[in-house]
Amino acid sequence: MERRILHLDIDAFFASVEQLRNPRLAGKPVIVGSGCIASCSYEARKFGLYAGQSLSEARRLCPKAVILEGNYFVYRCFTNRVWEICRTFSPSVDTYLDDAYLDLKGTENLYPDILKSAAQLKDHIRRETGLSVTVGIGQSRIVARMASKSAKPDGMRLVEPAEVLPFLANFEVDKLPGVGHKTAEVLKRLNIHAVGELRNLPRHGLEALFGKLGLAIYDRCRGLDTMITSKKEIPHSISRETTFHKETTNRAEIEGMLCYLTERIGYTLRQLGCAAKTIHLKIRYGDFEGEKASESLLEATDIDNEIHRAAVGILNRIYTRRVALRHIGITVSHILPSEKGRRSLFETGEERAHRLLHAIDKIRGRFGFSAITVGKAINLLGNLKQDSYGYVLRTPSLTK
Amino acid sequence: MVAVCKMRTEVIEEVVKVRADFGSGEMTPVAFKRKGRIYCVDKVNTRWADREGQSVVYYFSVDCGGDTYELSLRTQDMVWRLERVVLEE
Repeated sequence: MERRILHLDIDAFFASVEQLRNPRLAGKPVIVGSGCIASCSYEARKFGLYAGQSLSEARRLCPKAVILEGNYFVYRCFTNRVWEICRTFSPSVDTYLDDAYLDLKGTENLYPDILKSAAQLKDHIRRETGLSVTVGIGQSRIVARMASKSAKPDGMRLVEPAEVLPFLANFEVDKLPGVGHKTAEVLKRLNIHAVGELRNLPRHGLEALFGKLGLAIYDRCRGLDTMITSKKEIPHSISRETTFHKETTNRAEIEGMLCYLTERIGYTLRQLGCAAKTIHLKIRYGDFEGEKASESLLEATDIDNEIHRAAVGILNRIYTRRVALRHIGITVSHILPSEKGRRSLFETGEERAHRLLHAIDKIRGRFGFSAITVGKAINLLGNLKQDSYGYVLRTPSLTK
Repeated sequence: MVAVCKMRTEVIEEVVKVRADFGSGEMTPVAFKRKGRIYCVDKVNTRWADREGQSVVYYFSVDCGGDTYELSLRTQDMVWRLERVVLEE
């Protein structure tokens, strides 16, 4: 039986929710974000706006756009409902911020006409939530995702196995997952602009150019997933950052936030079975001046305290002005599988720390991240709203 | 040409009295009373649900007389609150 994956993507998610909450925003250019665009409505995209763009640039391009900070706990409520509906469609649903992959294996008899069934799923989501979604269906996650990308907004596209290669051929190389700006630049210098052209490069050639990423690109440009659907890739880096609700010079609050962001990173590293060697910290002052610095550890680690200690050391070096902070972010890079990167498990202190952290992770996995507050993150209690996912930050933090 | 949309959001977070209809498996607020004034709901724009521990909180965005209000019902204490209002300037 052929593998069949359905990729579901909520159209202009944050902006769409804001337009539902306030119908006077319907049909208008709406931006959700602080500092940069987290999401913008399709009306805003007509002015050349896109997610990740700075708000200053967005204001220049579209002075009449309505800009909203965002209410991320509200958005989670909407996605929870959408994912609930998806789980009535397929038992295997892998969810992300505003999109999900549904593995339709075993549902062939339930959905003999998959397009009709997918249309019913879209209608169900719209009736229940008011949100429009785009659906892509294909033999792999890559194909399903590219299919939904090609059908946006409020569309649906099925790519049959025989259509995969011609379907992917005309996409620009930077549209292929895993091909970022730098990789695309290298390919364009080789006069490779389209995915179809990328297929002419041999496997060993791509590996020589890009290492393991090259092997992944070789498979992806042929519509093949580079991993089993449920297995997580090792990212190049993991970031957690946020803008403070109010600019602050309160050291306890700043270190509390740093502790919390570190915990989120440590949790993600342990979920991936990885450890990281380099810690990067960036801050932005209230006058928008920024500072950043990095530190590499002797050994890669997934222990929150070790990452936090390095981060506080960097903070002490770079936070030197008597100006309130508006934004703080921590990134870890040089990420390795834990077996390769970690010190020997026979050191008692580290073993104990890992046992404690894994116990905390299990409790959080079952009862929500907020079930336990650790260390200086306790400084945020009472000052920041919490839900089961953790503190409700002003800006969502994303894994890069 | 895009019309300018000037709006102001006020956070209220006050307990209010609400009259609601129950039918077709749904609860729909039809009017609420705040500071002696009754506001009739012209339309429910959208609704969503959240959890606070074991309790479910239902949120409603409603239009009343040209302004948009957000109401919430916490099932833990069955108390309605007016959370915020979006006023057009």
